[in-house]
Amino acid sequence: MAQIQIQQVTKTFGRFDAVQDLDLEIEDGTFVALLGPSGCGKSTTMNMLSGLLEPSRGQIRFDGAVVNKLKPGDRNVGFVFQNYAIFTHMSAFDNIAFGLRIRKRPADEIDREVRQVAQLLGIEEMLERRTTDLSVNDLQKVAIGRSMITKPGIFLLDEPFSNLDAGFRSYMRAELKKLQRELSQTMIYVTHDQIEAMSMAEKIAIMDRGRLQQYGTPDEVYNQPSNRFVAGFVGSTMMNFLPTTLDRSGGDLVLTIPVVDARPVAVHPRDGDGDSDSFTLGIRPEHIELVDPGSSSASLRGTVTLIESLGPRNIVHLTSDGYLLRVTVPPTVRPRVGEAVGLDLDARRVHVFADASGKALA
Amino acid sequence: MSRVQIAGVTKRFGDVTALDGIELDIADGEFFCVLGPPGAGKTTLLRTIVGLERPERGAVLIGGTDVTDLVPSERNVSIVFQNLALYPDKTVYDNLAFPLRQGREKVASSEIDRRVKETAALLQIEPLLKRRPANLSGGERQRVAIGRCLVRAPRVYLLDEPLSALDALLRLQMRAELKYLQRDLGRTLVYVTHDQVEAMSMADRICVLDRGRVQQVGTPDDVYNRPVNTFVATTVGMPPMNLVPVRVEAGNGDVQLRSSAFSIRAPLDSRIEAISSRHGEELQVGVRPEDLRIGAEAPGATMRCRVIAVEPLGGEAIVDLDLGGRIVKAMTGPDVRIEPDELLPVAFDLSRIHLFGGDGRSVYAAGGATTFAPAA
Repeated sequence: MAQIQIQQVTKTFGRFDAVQDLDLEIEDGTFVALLGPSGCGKSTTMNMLSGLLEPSRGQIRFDGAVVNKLKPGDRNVGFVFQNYAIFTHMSAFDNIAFGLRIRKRPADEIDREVRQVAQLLGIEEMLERRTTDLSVNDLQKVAIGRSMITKPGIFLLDEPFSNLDAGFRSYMRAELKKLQRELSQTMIYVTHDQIEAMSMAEKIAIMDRGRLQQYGTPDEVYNQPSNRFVAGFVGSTMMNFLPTTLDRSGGDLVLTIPVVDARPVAVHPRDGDGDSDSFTLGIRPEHIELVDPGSSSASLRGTVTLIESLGPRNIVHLTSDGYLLRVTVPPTVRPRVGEAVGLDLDARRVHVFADASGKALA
Repeated sequence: MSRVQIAGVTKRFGDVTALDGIELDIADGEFFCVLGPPGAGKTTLLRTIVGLERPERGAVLIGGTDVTDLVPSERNVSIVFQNLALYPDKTVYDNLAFPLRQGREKVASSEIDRRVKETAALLQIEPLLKRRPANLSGGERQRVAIGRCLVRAPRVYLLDEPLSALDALLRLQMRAELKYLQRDLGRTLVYVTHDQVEAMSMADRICVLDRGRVQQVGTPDDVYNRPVNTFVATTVGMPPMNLVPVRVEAGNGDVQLRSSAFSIRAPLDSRIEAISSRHGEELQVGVRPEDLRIGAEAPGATMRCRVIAVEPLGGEAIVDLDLGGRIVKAMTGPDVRIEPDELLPVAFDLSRIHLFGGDGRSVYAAGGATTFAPAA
């Protein structure tokens, strides 16, 4: 168990700032995902938490104590990596027991602890097997077990599921979430996959180009993205973006999209970065409804260019006066390619971003 | 014409049968995906089409001509490998020009220049032509690799997991781009992937492959709604279809499907007749996460399940439930408030259930008539 504070941390490699002025407070027992594209600084952050890297500036504290210069072995931190480090000449039992044996714990305690961990992970039957006889999926469970058993204060996982097949990944997501709740351990999970972050974490820290973009619950980052980067990065089908002009003269904020035949969209007044010269409207694909092109509720009109059928829903791709848009619809809705459709934008779910700063009008 | 036919192809590596009597008929201009887990034989199939592997039995036909004995360069097909394989010391321009300079027929340098620039324009990489691969982003490198495949205007394009090295977001964007590109070019494209979303979203038809055998060939709608066996049912769709063992109890014109946790009355339609003859048999009922109704969506449900975990995905949420000691996953709307350990009413949408026999084959699909897999 541990609380983590990252205070004004910068990590520089030569002239490149991999992480810049990072401030993050992680409460004891929280499941946090560090999410971002390659090169965003999430792995560098992870390596500073584990002790493999030392911050160039700023401080990292565990339960209040600065750990900047502590070696990995002195931090009480457990790791699971993408390439699970397993001793292939040992049985699953011996792999899991390893951390306790080097701490010279009595044999009966080791036996009890290993079996308890194996039961949590559902690998009791495999304990006596050699790791060379285990599937990739079970190996990853052994790797997690081996790290868990020493009861580290902080558990760090670096894309541990990226080598697993999709079905097992989806199963492990639920398992890991359950495990974390049972152990109520501080867990930090690094991933570039927003689905993993959204589905498992209590809080998500989204990074881009070395900087923290937003730190919030899955609901917050999805429904109240703080800037355009977050809005575009979170969501399994990307948010649609269109240029817009703002009219604040009336009670509502009226958005006009400079597209042929567009009707203005009125949204609730918002504060924020009004200094920008230009703005972007953002709306998620599930917040647009396809309607008859002549309908009065159509804010925009478009032409269908492509349909992706994903099973439980279809993604309809459209162009509207040269702009590309995506709309998710139930599987029974299948407009033809080339068909003209109307788009009804749900005004309550419209986001507005200032182009200069990228920031959302809150 | 670039129809591709695989006629009874078997390929062995020592004791391992990588491809086992593969029969495929890929239409001219089709976007055809081969979907399967690692080790299914996908890459071997692609290498057999391109001519890098020679099958022990069977033939490969391109445009109606038997090419089984032709070397790769005589087949007029192009391949994009998973690991891209760009020349790091050459510029983007020279990487694109390479297949034309190395080809059997001599291409005039003015023609090379025209085709490189045309391809670069198509893929929107013109500003990158003078750069080297090390100075490109992952997505840009991907486009160069695809460009190198397109520049020759072959009869068939073959792509082996070309997006797997990319970030999730970039993969999403490249999916639609590839689909547009193939439609513009109008040529046959065979695309190998282990990612069912890629196959579902891009393919005209999908071939689901497992352990060297074709499990099913069909449109995305076919494989999703009418999977022929449990393998296809759990490979296509994410999270995978839930499978729960049940025993058939038939009598008095009624069919009950009974498990330790529930008993459901099978929907009465003409095809359920086939099920009533299976009295006492062990089957598996299959239900997709979006066809499992929970909470307020399941009025009158008699079944109660404990919530193990809730996975919010933004636009929807996955709820993991304990159904008689087994984890099942339900998909629900984003605005439902559900907490772990809560007991929830759960019901199956009977108009959407599947039944699979002891051998894993579909015996009933409520969503439509089932077509059966070729005999093993």
